[in-house]
Amino acid sequence: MLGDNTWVAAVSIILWSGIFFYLLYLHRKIRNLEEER
Amino acid sequence: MNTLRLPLAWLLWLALCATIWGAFFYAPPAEGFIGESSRILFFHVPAAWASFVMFFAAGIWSARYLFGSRQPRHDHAAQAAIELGLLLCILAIVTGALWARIMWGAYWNWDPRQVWITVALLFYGAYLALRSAVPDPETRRRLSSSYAVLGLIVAPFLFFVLPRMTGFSLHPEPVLNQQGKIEMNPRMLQVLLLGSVGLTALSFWIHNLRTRVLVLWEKREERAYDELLASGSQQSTGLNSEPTTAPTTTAPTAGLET
Repeated sequence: MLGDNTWVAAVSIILWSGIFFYLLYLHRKIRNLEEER
Repeated sequence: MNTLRLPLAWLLWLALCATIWGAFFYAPPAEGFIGESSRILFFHVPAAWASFVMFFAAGIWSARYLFGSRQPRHDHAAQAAIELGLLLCILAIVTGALWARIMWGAYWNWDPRQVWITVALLFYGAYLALRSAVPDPETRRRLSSSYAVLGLIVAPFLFFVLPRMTGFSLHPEPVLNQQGKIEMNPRMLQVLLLGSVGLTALSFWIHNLRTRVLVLWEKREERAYDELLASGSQQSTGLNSEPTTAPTTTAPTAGLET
């Protein structure tokens, strides 16, 4: 049985990873736009 | 992302994952706090710190704009920093209020730190209001940069000086206490420092992206404006080049001549 702290930490890490990958995607997209112009 | 920055980004991911893990499993619950409530401070304190860093950085970029070569990208950087600082400030206030509800029984307690960080939120919120109120880009940049430079003096007072000047506070001792000493469990301090450095680095990364988006928007607007001007001049040229056709009908003059 997982404790409350484990659940909160797991959800936090998943959220943070989601934000991280979204930032990587944004970075690539912005770089492509800059290169187009 | 170039070859140097990608490993840095992954290092940041790892650092903030380690902060989350450390906040829940490495650092012990703080003494004198109800239950596990102290763990929220590992996110609250870095958010407040990163918010201050962003506000201060905005002042520096604005000073570079005002007293430097007046490059719009410095103004964009200041705007992005203040937007991000406001977001972090809201995050710090909300996490602080959640913690206050557990410890003090109410979300809002008129504690000096709560009050002064909210004043900071309003002060920098007014910056965005000022920007949106001035239509002329040059005037907008000059006025908002002057306001943000004023923030270089105001922000340290609101974040560090004024909360310490008030004698009574429910707020726990800051990391660096009134005697200038750090009296904190070493494990807690390690997680707090890692979180603060990590969130500050993340803020600068997001800031970089936001600034570049603002620059791209401005270029797009300039191009659209140029195109509009060009099409307008073409239209006006077209009107002028049209042959002026004089009426070809001749007046019946026969009767008058006679």
